[in-house]
Amino acid sequence: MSVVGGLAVAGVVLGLGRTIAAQPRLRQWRDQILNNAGLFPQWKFYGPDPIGLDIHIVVRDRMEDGRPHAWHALLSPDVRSPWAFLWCPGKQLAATWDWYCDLILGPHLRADSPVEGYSIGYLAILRHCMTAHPRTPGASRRQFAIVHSFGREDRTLEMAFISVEHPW
Amino acid sequence: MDLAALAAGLRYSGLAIGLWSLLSTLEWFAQLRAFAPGGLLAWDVLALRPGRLYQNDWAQKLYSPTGMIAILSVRLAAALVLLVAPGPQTALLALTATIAMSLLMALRLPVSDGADKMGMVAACGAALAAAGVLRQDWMLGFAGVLWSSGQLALAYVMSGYVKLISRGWRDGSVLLPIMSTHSQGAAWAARAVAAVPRLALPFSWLVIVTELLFPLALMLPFAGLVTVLAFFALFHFAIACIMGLNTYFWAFVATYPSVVILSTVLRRSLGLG
Repeated sequence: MSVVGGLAVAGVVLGLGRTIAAQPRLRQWRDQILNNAGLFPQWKFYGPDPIGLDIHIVVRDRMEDGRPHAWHALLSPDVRSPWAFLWCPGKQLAATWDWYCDLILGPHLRADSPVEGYSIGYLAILRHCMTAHPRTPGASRRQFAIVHSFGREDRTLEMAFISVEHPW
Repeated sequence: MDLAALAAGLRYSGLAIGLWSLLSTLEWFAQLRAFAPGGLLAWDVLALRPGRLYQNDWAQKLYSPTGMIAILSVRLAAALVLLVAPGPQTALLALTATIAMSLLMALRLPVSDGADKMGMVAACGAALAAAGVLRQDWMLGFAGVLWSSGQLALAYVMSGYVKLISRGWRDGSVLLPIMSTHSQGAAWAARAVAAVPRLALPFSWLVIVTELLFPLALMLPFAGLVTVLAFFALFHFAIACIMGLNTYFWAFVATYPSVVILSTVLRRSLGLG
């Protein structure tokens, strides 16, 4: 047995042990980076409690005279192409939306604590909402909301979060 | 077990890794706007994450939209090289480039999916195997086999375990809500689950039990192991069709040659065949 080979096997065994230790919970940002990179990944495909809902992001402008403008959908789940088993680029950003929304709502849902107002998720969604939809002429402020929908034909909607109004 | 088996496994793994990386990279190219200023993945907001890593000047340059095009281009070129089934030396270079670019992307992106993680596992394992073949060092190549198959077994067992401790999975009630979503389900799958609700319970348990028991497949004779791997490949293909998770199939299948090699080594060392 070569020294390099022996060291490589020992390193792999240690790496697998580290992966097992990382399973219960990613405690720090460093763990999250190692998980993202697939070095010591956390494996839990659709467990323990997958969330059976769709996320929608809507924005609304407030006019200078105080009247609210209509809500506009900025993100709605797409109708998936029948070729999605070969080509499905939308899923790359869907995971990011889920993560941002979880950063805003997660602490609240898990610990009944106040909604996290200025997390990275909040800032990223706010920034996107301010730039991705054209400003209504005469508008002075904008707010966004996270809406959850459940089901298909018998769809129900639930307003999960409404941001404060942000000036332009 | 000899180096020829490692080299053969490396060719199959390299092909699947190439397909995973090609699809994943092209899909990111299709979402390039997200990296632009004001986009969902704009660096000025993501750089606010904790950690000195994100505040460096080099990160600012590397993770600009132009930098991302460069990273994705190198990753695309490496994927194309892997698809032509190169020799171990070229494969090692292409795999190293794939790993390096995937790491840079993992630092850039706030979250990655299971396919990217498993693709990275397969690429690291294949790179070790390629190094072993190049150096004529069986043990070094075996380290790669152990990494890929060990992570695959962990992925299935842990996924089975977290489902086992979930009441929704145990009583089968999680399936209909997931299948009923537009983002993760499919209308025909939701109708099928709703039409025959009694099937949800055995299906849930089929997933839990097969994932939990996957490591036992390593002890099966070759035909049995191939049957189990074919079942899991079919499972990933079904997930691609129902949920649109198309890259999972290639990322997971990329580790299967390592499982076959590890099983052969284990069975021989235990005197089973």
